[in-house]
Order: sequence, then C-alpha cells, then structure tokens
Amino acid sequence: MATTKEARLRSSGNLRRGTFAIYLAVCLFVGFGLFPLYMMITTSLKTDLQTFEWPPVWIFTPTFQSYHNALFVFGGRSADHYLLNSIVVTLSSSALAVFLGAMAAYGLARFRFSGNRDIAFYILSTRFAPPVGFIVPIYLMVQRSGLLDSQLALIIVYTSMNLSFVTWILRGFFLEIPIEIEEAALVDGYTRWQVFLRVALPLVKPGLAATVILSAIFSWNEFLFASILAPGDAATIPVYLAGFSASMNIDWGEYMAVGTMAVLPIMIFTLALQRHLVRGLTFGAVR
Amino acid sequence: MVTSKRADRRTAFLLIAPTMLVLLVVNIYPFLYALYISAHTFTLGRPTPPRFIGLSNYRDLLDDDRFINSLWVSFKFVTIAVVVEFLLGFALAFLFNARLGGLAILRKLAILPIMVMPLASGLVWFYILNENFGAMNWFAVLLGATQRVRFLTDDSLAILSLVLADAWQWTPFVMLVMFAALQSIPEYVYEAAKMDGLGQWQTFWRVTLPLLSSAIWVVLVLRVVDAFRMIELIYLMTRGGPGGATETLSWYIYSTGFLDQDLGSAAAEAVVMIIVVTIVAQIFVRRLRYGEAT
Amino acid sequence: MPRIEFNCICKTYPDGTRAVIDLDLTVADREFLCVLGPSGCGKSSTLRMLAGLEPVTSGDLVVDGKRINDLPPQARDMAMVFENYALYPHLRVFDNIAMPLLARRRPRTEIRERVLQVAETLQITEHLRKRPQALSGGQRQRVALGRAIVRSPKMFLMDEPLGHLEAYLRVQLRAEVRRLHERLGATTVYITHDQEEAEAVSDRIAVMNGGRLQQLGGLIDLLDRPVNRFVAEFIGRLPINVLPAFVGAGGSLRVGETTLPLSPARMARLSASGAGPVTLGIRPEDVSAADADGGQALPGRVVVLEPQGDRTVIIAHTMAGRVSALVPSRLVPSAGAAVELRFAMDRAHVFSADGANLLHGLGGSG
Repeated sequence: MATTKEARLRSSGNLRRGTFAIYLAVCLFVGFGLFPLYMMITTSLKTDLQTFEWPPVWIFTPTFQSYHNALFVFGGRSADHYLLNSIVVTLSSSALAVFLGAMAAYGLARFRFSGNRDIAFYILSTRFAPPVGFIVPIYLMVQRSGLLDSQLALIIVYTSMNLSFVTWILRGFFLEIPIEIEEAALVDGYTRWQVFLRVALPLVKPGLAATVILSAIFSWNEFLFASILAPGDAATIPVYLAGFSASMNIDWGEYMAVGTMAVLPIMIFTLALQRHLVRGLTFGAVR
Repeated sequence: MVTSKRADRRTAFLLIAPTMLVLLVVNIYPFLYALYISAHTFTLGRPTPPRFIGLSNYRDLLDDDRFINSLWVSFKFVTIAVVVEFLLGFALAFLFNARLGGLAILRKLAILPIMVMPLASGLVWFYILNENFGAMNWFAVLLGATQRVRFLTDDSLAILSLVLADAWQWTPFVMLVMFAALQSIPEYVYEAAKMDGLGQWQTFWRVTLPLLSSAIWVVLVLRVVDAFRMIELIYLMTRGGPGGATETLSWYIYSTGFLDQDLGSAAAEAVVMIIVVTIVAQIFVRRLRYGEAT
Repeated sequence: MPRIEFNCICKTYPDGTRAVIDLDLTVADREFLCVLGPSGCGKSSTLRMLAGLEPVTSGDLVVDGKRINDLPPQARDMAMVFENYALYPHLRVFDNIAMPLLARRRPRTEIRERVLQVAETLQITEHLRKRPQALSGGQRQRVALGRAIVRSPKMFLMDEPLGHLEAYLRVQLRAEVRRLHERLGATTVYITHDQEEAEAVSDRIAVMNGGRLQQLGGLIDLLDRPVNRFVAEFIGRLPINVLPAFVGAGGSLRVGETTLPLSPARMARLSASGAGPVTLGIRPEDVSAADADGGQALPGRVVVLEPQGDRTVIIAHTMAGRVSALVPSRLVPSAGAAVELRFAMDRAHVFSADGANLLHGLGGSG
C-alpha cells in the first residue's frame, strides 16, 4: 500500500482552469516541432510533380520512387559510400572522444596538481570554439599533411570537438562517486590505473552512455568540416545531402528521401535513449 | 593516499596528456596558425607562395563594408534568435512542469528537433519556406495573406526565416534545460513560500527565478555562442542573401575563404570571430569558477 | 471558543489512500497540542490540511468559528516549521527570516528591526549573513523557528521539527519551542513520533494510528487509562507486557495456569464482556519478581537482566511468554533463577480481540 507521502506527492498538482490551455499550447509546440519532419517524410513519398504543386498536396498515394532514385539511379557515388563513411567516422570519433575524455576527466577529478582547474576550464572553453573560425587553418593543415579527403582527418577533428563536453560531463560524474570506494580498492592493492578501469569507469556508466550518444549524434550531423575536409572519398551523409542542392535540377523528392534516411535513424535513437540524452544535454545547468 | 605523490602526478599526466595533445593539434595550433595566415596573402589553390603583409588584412577589414555588415547581421540574428528561443523555451518549461498526464510523452516528442541534422533542417525549411510551393505560404494565405510571401528572398524576412528555422531546432533545448532546472527545485521551497504568505507572482520573482538563475545563465551563453556560429541554415536557405541581408560573420568567413578563395582575409576574420567568442566564453567560465569555488 | 476544530475530517488521496478518517478534534486557544503516532498514521496529513497545503476531502475545518476549508495557506494566519527546515537556499539567514514580512510588504525599517529582534531571541544574530548551507542542523532549525515567529502569528504548526537533530539539541530546542509558545501566547499544533518529546512540551497529546484519533489527553491519562491496545503499547518508556489471557465464567482472568486476583468491579466488567480469549497488558513497572513461594503469581525463569542504574529490568520466560519486570537493583534475582511474577492488577489492562480496553475507566491510581 502506498505510503502517505507518496500519495501526497501525486495529488499536489490540483486541476486548475487553464488545463486545456496548457495542453493546447504544448500540443501546438509539439506539432510545430514535428511538422518539418512530417513534411520531409511526406515529400519523400511524393512524385516529383507533386512536390511542386500549389497548393501543396496533403493527401496523395505514397510512392517510393524517390528512394529508389536516390539510392540507385543518380550518378556519381552511391548512397552507401556516404553511409559507410558516416558510420566509420561517427563510431571512431565518439569512441575515441569518450575514451580519451574519460581518462582526462578522471585525471582532473581525482588528482590534485597545480593547474588542474586551469586545464579543466581550458578544456571546457574549447566547447565554444567556432568551427568557422578554425576551418581555414585546419583546412590548410589537413591539406599539407596529405590527409585531405581522408576519414582520419575527420575523425581527429570530430574527436577534438567532442572532447570538451565529454571531459566536462564525465569529470562531473567522477566527482560524484564517493572517494571511499576508490580508496578501498587502493588499499586492497589495485594500481591507480586498475582503480580507474575496474572501479571508477563502471560507476559512471550513465555518463558514458550520455556522452557516447551525444558525440555520435554530433559527429553524424556535422557538416562544415565534412564538406571542406572530405568532399569526395571520405564524404559523409551531410555532404551527400548538400550535394543535392548544388545540382541544377531540384529533385525535392530525392532530397527528402536522403534527408529522411539520414534523420530517421537518429530520431528513433533519440526516442529510445532519450533519458541518457537528456542527462547529457542538461548537464552543467542542473546539479 | 597509498601511492606516492610523484607517481600520482605522472599518472595524472598520462591520463590527461592524450586529450591535451588532440586539443593542441586541433585547437591551439590552428589558432596560432590562423594568426600566421592572417598576416599573409594566401590564396586557395594558387601556387604562388604567401607574402607577409603584417596587419594589412586587419586594416582592410575595418574598411570592408561587407565585414561590418556581417558583424551587424550576426548581432541581429543572435539577438533575435536567442530572445525568441529563450522566452518561448522558458515559458514552455513552465507549461511542461504542470502535473498533467501525457506531458512526459509530449516532452519526449518535443525535443526531437534538437537531434535533427542541421543540414537536413535547413533543407526542409528551404522547401517549406519556398515562395512558390512551400507549405508556409499555404498557411500564410490561410491567415489572410493576399500574395505569396517571399520568406527567403525578402530583405527583412530572410533573416527572420533563419530565426524561424533556428528557433524550431533550439527552443526545445532551452525548454529542456529550464524544465530540468525547474524540476530540481524541491517542493518544500514552494510550501514554505505559501506558508510565508507569498502570492503566486511574488513566489515567482523571489523564489523560483533566483533558483533558476544559474541554469538561465548556462542556457543563454550556450545559445548565444551557438547562434553566433550557425552556418548550415544559411548554406542551404539563403547563402548570405538577399544582398547580404543574411550574411553573418560565419557565412562571410566561409564565403571569403572558400568561395572567394582569399584565405588571408578569411583568417583575419576568423581571428576576430575567435576573439569575440573567447571573450564571451571567458565571462561564462569565470562565473562558473566562482560557482565552483564557493 | 476553541481555536481550531476538526469536525469529522477525512483525507483521501487520489490513489485511494485514506490518510485521515473521521477526525474530531478541538484545540483550545493558547493550547500546545501534540499529535503523536507512528509513521503513516495520518498526523502529517492532518497538519498539512490545517496549513492549507493539502485539500480537505470531507468534513469541516473551523478556525475561530470560521470554516477555512477553501482558504489558501497565505490567508490563514498560521506559521509552519517544517521537518527539513525548508529554508530558502538562495537567501541569507536574514532574508529567510524576513520573508514573511517581505511578503506582506512591510517597510524595510520595520523588517530590519523585527528580524534582529528575532535573531537575538534565538541567539542566531551571528549567522544572519550566512546561507543555510553553511549552518548546522540546529542552527538551521532556529532560523526556521525565527521565520515562523517573525510576524508573531497566533498559530504555529510544527511538523516533527526536531526530527533530524541530535539528542541533546532536541532536548534543548524543545524547551525553547515551549518557551516561545508561552511568550507569544500562541496556539501550537506539534507533530512528533517521540513520546518523550510530546510529554515534555505539550498540554495535551492526541494519539493517532491508521488515520484515526485513538485517544486525546495528558500523558498520565494515556499511560494509566489507555483506551486501546495500540495506545497502551505506543505510550510508555518501557514496552508494555502483552500476554495472552483468558476470561472465564464470572469474569475471572487466567494467564497460563495462573488465575490473577481481580477486584469485584473488574470481574463484573469482564464478565459483562463475555468469556473468551483476551490480551493482558501490564507495564514492567507494575510487575514484581520474587522468589518462588506459591500463591497467585506467574512462575518464570530469569533469562536476561538489563541494569538501568538503581533499577533493573528483568526479563523472565514464562508459560505465557516473555515478561519484563522493573525492580530495584538490590532485589534482583540472578540469571536463571526461578521467580514468581506478581502483577499489580489495579493497574492492569485487559484488551479484547479488537484491541479495545475492556477495563477502560477503571484505570489505576496514577
């Protein structure tokens, strides 16, 4: 039987006038949020002619022609080339970012040395580095080292962009673990490295989940560096998408088909793992 | 501690060094390199070696109307976007905070836009805002417009269209953070306020808002910095037009460097941008330091 | 006119939990009433309904003759002290205490004067510029008290205010609470689960269990004339002995194989309730242990001795179960010894199967 306290918590929000207003406002907002996604999906299912119609066609019979065209018909590289690049770059950069970031976070959280705080805040500040500001020098650096249009260049750049928030979030998580657990392990004879691997890391699993997911989403979505540093061989899906807009024919159906294929997995991902995502996104603002 | 201090320091170094190395390569060195490039004439693709010209690029910037304009456009965009996103997101957080059934699911749906590839978002909004067949015009006509609205090609509307697309994606983020912050306020604080005689408005001003202030700060800084560096929407929707109306500093740097291929000027602009952002970031980080110290 | 009246008050939460059932209670003007009971007995719900933090499901809540069921907390002239202090974390102590006056837009000079006065009274003047996080539990509770008294309300509601404090602080602060109550001429409703505390501060105690008021009265009343088994077991420094017994024809009372001596009045009362199994309740203080010598005593064997200064608790194993007796230490038999346990039957209680005290009203001389 529920305790009085639990029952009380559940009842405190008494119904007020304006309940309807709240629902209305919220539904409008959610509707507005879903509308472009709806447009994208429906447009991808229209024939090319329908995409140009005015007034817009709201009811139609869906066709997968655009998907077929996008995947098989267009010249140049096929879609799976970009898909493969995206997957490799995303997985590598997020794994690397979380791996390096976890180590750095642990080092900053558990070790006392002069400059600890300065380094921590420096790493945090790289979160604010504007990609556009760095694109010029990085482009030249990549070109000169012969890494232009390579997956490696993208992986390194994305890793660094993810490192800042990964380190910061994991540092916060490590600081929350009671230090006694680690001290006990040390007394038992573990080396500090073992304590990190076997004791501390498992205890921050939610943080690892949150940062991996956020890094992956970021790397998957990133466009600017991908378009400049990897326009061809290592091109990722955003570059593929952008490539469509450059062509003279405006094939909206195909655009939206590619867009849908790029976005839908992330949407499903987001809904399934939203608890971890939310934790990562709101970190720092809320204790 | 059962290990020696020196061994500790070595371990800490080994743990942090790889990260610092990456940041050195991708963050510190490029900035220095950008300073170097900005002091030369550099042209993309041209075989002629760069020529040292000192601060000449920077001096040119001061005379460059497009540059000044880009600063102004950036300021406009950031201000309007952040104000809209903050006010809307903040209000929505309160709405979502109501104890009503179904809000949790609605909230999960509401945050979907945050994860959408900005490029895809730009693409869809480009389609929706198209003056000939875009759905937005359909709504406009529904609401009484007499002729088709030129969302992306009108001088004053173009930037608002960008704000619309940006707000679509990021208002849910503001809402999410403020919602989390609201939820973290313990119930007993509100009860104490009631017993102390505080009315609804008084409670908001004296209790709720101060307790939200650190979250507000974080969200504002993040949005300002991210709105400032936004480029995907411009790339797909307006490409800086019409006539520079949506040419933010971000776009101008991209345009100078990769369309006009003048890397020297682009680097100079980039340095200016980095400095501006660094100042903003420092203010934030400094305040965070105080927070951590107390 | 009584200050506060609960008239057949019920509280049912939306999930069906019936927290308070048919509560009828009055609190006199300037009275200090303690509501005492175990966790989940409904005492907090009762207080929160009085405060206005929870809506009343049914019944009338009357204060000074006016029904206040629908009045918001801000409009009731009550101050509340919470169990976890409920201080505003973002404000300094000064502003925490000042809040009730700030809410009523009192002039700054008046606020300043009042707050300093209150801080002086509670001896927290040195902490005024600090934040709650920098204070100890006892200091925080004083701040909470200060916030409650700063506008000299006529009614105080306190929800286990000393629950999180160390023992010596509890003793110290409860005296202060009582002192404040008297100085301000206030009516206080005080929740606690600690009967020693209730005994020390209150004029009357209301014992609650399972959402219902069990008994209302002073501590002596509750001790000597418990209305049911719950009250008898809940009140009392040492746990009361509870033994299975049998009422025979004519109202005789038998425990194990021993028939206990009863006064005619008591036998008549028991006879009227009918023969059958009952429960005997007798406090250790009313049990004496002597060496076996026959007679109307319950035989047993000593198993545990718990010395407590000049008196010792003896726990003896008997046919009817374990019995504890409180005896002067000089008369203590040794462990393992056989003893005869005698009960002071004029102070014994007999409970029926549903817990009611069959001998209620015939309680001991106190």
